[in-house]
Amino acid sequence: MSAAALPEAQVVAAQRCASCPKMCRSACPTLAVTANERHQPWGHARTVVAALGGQDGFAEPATVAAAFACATCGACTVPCLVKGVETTELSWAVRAAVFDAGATPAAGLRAVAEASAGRVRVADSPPAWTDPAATLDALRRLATPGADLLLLPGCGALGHRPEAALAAGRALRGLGIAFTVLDEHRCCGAPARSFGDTAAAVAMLDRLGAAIAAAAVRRVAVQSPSCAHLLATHAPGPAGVAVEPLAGVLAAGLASAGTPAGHGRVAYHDPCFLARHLDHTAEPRAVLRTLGHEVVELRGRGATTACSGGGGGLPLTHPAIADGYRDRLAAAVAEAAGAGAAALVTGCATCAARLAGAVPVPVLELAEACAAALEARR
Amino acid sequence: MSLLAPALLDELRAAVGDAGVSTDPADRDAVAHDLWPRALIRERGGERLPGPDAVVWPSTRGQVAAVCAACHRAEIPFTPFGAGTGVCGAAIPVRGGVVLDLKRLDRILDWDLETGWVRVEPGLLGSRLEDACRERGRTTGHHPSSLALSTVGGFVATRSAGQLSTRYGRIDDLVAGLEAVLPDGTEVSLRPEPAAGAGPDLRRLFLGSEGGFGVIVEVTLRLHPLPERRVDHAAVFGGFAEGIAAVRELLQAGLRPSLLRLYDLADTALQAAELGVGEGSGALLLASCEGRAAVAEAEAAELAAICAAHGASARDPAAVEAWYTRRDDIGFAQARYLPLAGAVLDTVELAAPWSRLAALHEAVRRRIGGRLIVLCHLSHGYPDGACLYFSFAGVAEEEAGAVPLHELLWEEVMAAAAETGASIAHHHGAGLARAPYMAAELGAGGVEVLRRLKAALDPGGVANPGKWGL
Repeated sequence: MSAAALPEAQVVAAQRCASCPKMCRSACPTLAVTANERHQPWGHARTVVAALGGQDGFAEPATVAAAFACATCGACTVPCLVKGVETTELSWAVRAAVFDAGATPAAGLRAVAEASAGRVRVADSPPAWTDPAATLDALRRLATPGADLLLLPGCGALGHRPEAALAAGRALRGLGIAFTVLDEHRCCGAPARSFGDTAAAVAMLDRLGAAIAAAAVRRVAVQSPSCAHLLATHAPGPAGVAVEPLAGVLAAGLASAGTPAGHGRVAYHDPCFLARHLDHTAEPRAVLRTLGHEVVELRGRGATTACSGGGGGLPLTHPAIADGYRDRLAAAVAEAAGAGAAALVTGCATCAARLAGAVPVPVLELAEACAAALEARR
Repeated sequence: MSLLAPALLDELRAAVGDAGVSTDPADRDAVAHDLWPRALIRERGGERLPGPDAVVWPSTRGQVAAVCAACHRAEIPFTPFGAGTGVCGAAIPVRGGVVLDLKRLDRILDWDLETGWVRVEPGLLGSRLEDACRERGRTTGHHPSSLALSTVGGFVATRSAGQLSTRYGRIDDLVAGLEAVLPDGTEVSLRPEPAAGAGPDLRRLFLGSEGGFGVIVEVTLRLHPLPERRVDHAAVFGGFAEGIAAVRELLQAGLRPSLLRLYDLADTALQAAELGVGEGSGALLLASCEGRAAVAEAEAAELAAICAAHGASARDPAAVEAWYTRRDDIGFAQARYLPLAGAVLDTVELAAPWSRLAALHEAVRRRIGGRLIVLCHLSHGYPDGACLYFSFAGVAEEEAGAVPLHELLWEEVMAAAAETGASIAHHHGAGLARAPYMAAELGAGGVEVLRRLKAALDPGGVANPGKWGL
């Protein structure tokens, strides 16, 4: 393995991050959970600098441990104004260097292998995975062949909370929006990126791009936030195909559907990739308000939203830290429940799966809330 | 591997649980130093500071006491550690042993809004406390530029001052009471009082103690109502001396602006471009008066009149708002330039009475100018003097010359303080950076008092040893 596996721009970023007086420390959930000085962007960057000059390079155990002790939630990017540093990009680059060094945690390799095979690994110990085929079949029964909108639930919905994927189909249908689905599940490659397997990530993205082209649609509605982010930034499909988060499609559809009677107060949780990485915060709230809900805001929302710990492969490599993330978010939800929120709605199926049972109110993914309200109106 | 005896490690684990003790080299390395520039430069040059033998994370004061007692009995050093963002090396465990990481002691324990007190644990980040205060219509008024990256315990242990200290006071003025664990594990409660007069003020013993007298485990801070109104004023004086004269007059007249910063000519040239206040000649003053609206407006009018009487020309007060938007951003520049080979960056804050302030400014510039860029602003004003805050930047010809250049910088600045009778520190603490100069600062008698206090409270010499030059 060679330390040169890290692109020069990211070498500079790591050096700057390691030289920073920890300006983002108050934002980092890993530091908040562990109280361990090494577990924050500054500490993680120091292990990168050490790897660049060290004997073991990116196979150095401390570097590997740091590389994956992060949900890539991007909370640190909000306070960071260091020129040339984009911490999430740095994290992905370091993970790729670790992969090149052959030091990726086995749990990550297993998750990538299953994503390549069209399955979703949802836990590593004990191992658990889901096969999205049955959910896709059920969705297909709600779909309209030849529709110009492709619904792409993504691994988050299909793997972690299939009922959210089905609700997406029910909600679109309830709004009179015709959609189609792929013949089989194609992962966008985000899990491979999370574990540094760049070649696998590119191959998965290319396969998904080809599948979108074959579907001959004009729009793609993506339900899983990390998938929406990756597709928005890498645009694998043919030119002219618009990719947007499902929340935007639902908001637009509801805008012309009339305002129903009130459905009570709900808290809304902004998923990291939807709110922080894609700046998609108004649309989910528009959905809820159009459905007649009063939205109770959580402590930490929009760009400063709290992460559920489901991203970046964190539950597979550092489940205790991931649970700590979830517990911090759950405390904010409990506070909102105390302020009158009767349910929590989140724009992310993975977050919904992680929070269900950990908070004192029912948890719904946005499409589930939408489908339930539309069906109750009929 | 850890050099600590297995029996001590067992005792520490019994005190805080297995998960609360680590001898992992990566955990120890992360607390091997704070942000003292000398340590950062040495690390950039390839040196790894040895760090502690173990890191311990207590989550209750009882656990702190048990850890201190165990270290005391075993004669093993311990060093309290908050966020590790001090800039003088106070948190560097120079003799190894145990780093006592206080981040799990981060609770807000109690509000007494009628009195205007909040009781907190030492590991609480300043920004979290301030956010909670603001939700209740209060502020501590304590806003160092490190607010989001430093802890209440760190504020107290290093005698920090915030950007608005001219109005709200430094942390010394904000501490109403505190509780501490002495080096042998004895718990001490110095209850909060608005004022007290029975004997020496023992609270003050722990202000600036940097862990040398034990561990601060609880602090009661004074609160202020959020200001109803803030009135900003920007002005440019013909020279730094004219600005100093105006600032002295307004402080001695009883005005207490919250923000009060007067930049020297070199710093003005830099600030003026960033804040949009003209061509950057002269000495720029940024000020805010805040509180009840009528009082703030009247105070600002008096301040403007005094400045004008000293020949200042007013500028668009939007420059002050521009300053507030970037008030905490200095660390981003450090991140960018510190990695450069040979780079030396540091700040040194000194204090002097009005009668010696100009001489101090001149002495520092004379001794350092030509070797490093020297910028200076006056802030933290008092009726009898002020802090001069110097920023230094330069590059040694080669990396090996960076540490000697940094050493020379400190030697010269401390010599300038000695030459002019200034205090060697205003609010960054002493730590390792100022250890060689403590005798000059305190005098032989003062050092003897400090030495005897240390010996009485920490007979084993286990509490953050190697600091203060003792």
